Amino acid sequence: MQSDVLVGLAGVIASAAPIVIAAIGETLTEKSGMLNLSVNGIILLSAMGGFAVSYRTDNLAAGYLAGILIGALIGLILAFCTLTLYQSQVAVGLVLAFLCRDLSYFLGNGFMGLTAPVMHSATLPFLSELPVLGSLFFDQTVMTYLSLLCIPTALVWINHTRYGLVLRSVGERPEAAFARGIDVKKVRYLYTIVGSALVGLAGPIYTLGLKPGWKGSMTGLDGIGWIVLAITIFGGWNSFRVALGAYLFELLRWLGLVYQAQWSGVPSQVLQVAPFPLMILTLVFVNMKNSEWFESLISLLPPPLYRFFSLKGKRNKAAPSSLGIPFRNV
Amino acid sequence: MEIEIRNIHKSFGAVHANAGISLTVHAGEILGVLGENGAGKTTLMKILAGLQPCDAGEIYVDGKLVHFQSADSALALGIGMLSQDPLDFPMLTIFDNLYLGRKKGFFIQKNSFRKEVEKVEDLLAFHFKLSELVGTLSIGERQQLEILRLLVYGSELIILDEPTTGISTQQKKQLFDLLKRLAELGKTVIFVTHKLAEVNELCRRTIVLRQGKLVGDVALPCGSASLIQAMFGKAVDLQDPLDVSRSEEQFEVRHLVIKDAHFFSNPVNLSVRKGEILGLAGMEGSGQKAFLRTLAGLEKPLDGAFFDEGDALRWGSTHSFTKRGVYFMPAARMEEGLIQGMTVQEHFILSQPAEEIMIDRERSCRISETRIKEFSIHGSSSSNAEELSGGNQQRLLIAMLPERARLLLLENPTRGLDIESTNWIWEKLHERCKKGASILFASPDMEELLRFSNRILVFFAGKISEPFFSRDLNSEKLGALIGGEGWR
Repeated sequence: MQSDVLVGLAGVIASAAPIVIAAIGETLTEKSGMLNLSVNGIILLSAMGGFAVSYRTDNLAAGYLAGILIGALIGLILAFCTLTLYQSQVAVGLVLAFLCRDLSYFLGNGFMGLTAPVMHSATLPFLSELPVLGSLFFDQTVMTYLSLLCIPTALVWINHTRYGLVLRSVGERPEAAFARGIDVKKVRYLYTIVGSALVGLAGPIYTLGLKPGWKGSMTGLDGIGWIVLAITIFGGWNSFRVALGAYLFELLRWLGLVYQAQWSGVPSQVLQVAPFPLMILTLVFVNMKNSEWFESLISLLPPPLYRFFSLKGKRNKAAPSSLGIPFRNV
Repeated sequence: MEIEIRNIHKSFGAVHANAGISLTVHAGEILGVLGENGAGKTTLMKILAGLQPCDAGEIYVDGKLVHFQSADSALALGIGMLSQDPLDFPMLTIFDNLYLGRKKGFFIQKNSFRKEVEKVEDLLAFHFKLSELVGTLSIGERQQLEILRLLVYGSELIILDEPTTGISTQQKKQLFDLLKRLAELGKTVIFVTHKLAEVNELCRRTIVLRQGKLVGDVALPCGSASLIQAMFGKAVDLQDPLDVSRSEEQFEVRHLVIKDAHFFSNPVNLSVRKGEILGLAGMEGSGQKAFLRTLAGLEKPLDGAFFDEGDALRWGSTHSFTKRGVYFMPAARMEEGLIQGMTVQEHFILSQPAEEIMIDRERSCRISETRIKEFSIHGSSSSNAEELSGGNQQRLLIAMLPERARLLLLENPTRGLDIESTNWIWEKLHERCKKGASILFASPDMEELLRFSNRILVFFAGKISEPFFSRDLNSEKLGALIGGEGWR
């Protein structure tokens, strides 16, 4: 029984991998002050594109690379429209989101129901033999390891490197950053493309690993991108919290599947949809930390727990001040 | 470091903001740059600091011809500028804010950079807690922080653009001490202002700009009259307040207790006569703003009543206050007073009482054209509010106050304006007084308070004084009261 739970939890970590990677990509983009609303479209298009390339070339790596390139290309389009042509980030992002989604269904017609290579888990020697941790973290696919690696890397990059500081400054006050000799447009271009490329990597992780194959609108990926956006916001643009949000979401989905068998009286749709509103409620609850009554409630907890939950004196919970606001050089 | 600029030209559309300015600044000097609003001071300084390219002209640093592409490249040559609104990052820590601008290294070098900062801090004799957020500092402290930053990056010339707008008298003294210290250390300081007294206090030499030309290079101290003559090309008359001892009382405040973010005031009893001007003195944030907003109906008091010719006004709807002719003009021009993206004409339409559903374009156009002429606003009906210069935005705000206003509540009505514009605005306000309107205004400028008001209320840390007759006060007495001395 215990090993069943472990296998389930390891599955949660694996299935959260694309969400973690995409949400960290979006966090990087938004930290620079750019709002990329096309996440949902990028995931679908790169899921289809990655699968198609992998099928044609019979090469797994080519599929993942294609996903990254599709993401980067959409990011480039968004950056060009908003940073060079000064169009609205919201409008361009939304149009791209729907365009990419429909494009993936249209272009993917010929690839329905085919089989391409699938990524298998790469068990790490020694580490996988650790009790509990071994089967949870070290018997996973390369992409899951990558998602785990992304979390501390992004955290260190944003908060402890000079480049991260430049990134934050551009998102907070571009006109001041410009006066410090920072090429605001270049930084925004860069992080929009890099962030979108990470989002693009999420697509093939589904179609070449978690849910092999392309089944058009039945693939079941539509909507994940919007969850990614919500997690980015509620995670307070902090990669650690963002990852927690992703794991929470997948945990809820897994619990839904587990209890479906036990609660046969409950319609299966309810359990399938439940994670979404539950996610929203949890995230709202998490963000209630900002309110005074929540502070007074948790002040009853023992000090170490209180410090963990309390947001008093903690930073980086606020949105980048110039998120979504265009910037023009003099 | 010696800076020489030769024949600088810069135009914005039809406006020739800098028309052939040449100037030499010597090392260790505090040079004043004096001029009215729109004289071209800021433009010249932005060119010198690399924030703006010039159309023609040359800049020499220690005899070498230089070209700046950005503020960054100017700073690399030792020229740094402190903008009117500090260009820093409120959401970053003081450390990060200082670190931004370093060109080398991958990881943030906490310890070595901290030592560098501390070395400069020791020279200047002040210290920041580097882990705090910039946003928690006052404007005065943020200026100090910017000066510190410029010095850390090796600035030899520091340009300050109107640094005394928005800081308290005490902070101003600190700033001046700091600037004198910089000069002792051999740094060059350029101090831009429109206030004569400040230049006289701080500088040994000042240049005067008027309409984009350099019209004077004066050794200081010297008499105000000749400087005013140079700044405006003519002498400026000052107006005295009306004698209101015989006019009737129209507004009365009884036992009013206001609340601010940090305190409750003592109860205030006050009556205001027709045509009277009441000044509210005190350091910024001592309750003047809350007092004005309470009287305007924008905030509820804790206790007390407000009577207009015997009728009590009820808090809850601002509309019932404006219907009575009580109007508030905020200090934050762009944030609270004007609406970004709307034209001058649309502002006038908004300020008119709403009578019909459809906008009468012709009539509103007529109104707006006459007002623009009457209040000499540099701009047209169709220019957006944010395109106007600060002084013209202020004129627009004054022009928007409806004719039927009986009580004007003005927060820093002349903030950032030069003497001539200030006088011009007070002339307009006096006209209102002659028609029977009363004025309450807050100002950080003691001279303005003493000159233009009949009586003065002093605010200090939530305490509100009895009204003083301004003829019984002078700047020493008022300054002491503002600083919290001499209270009973």
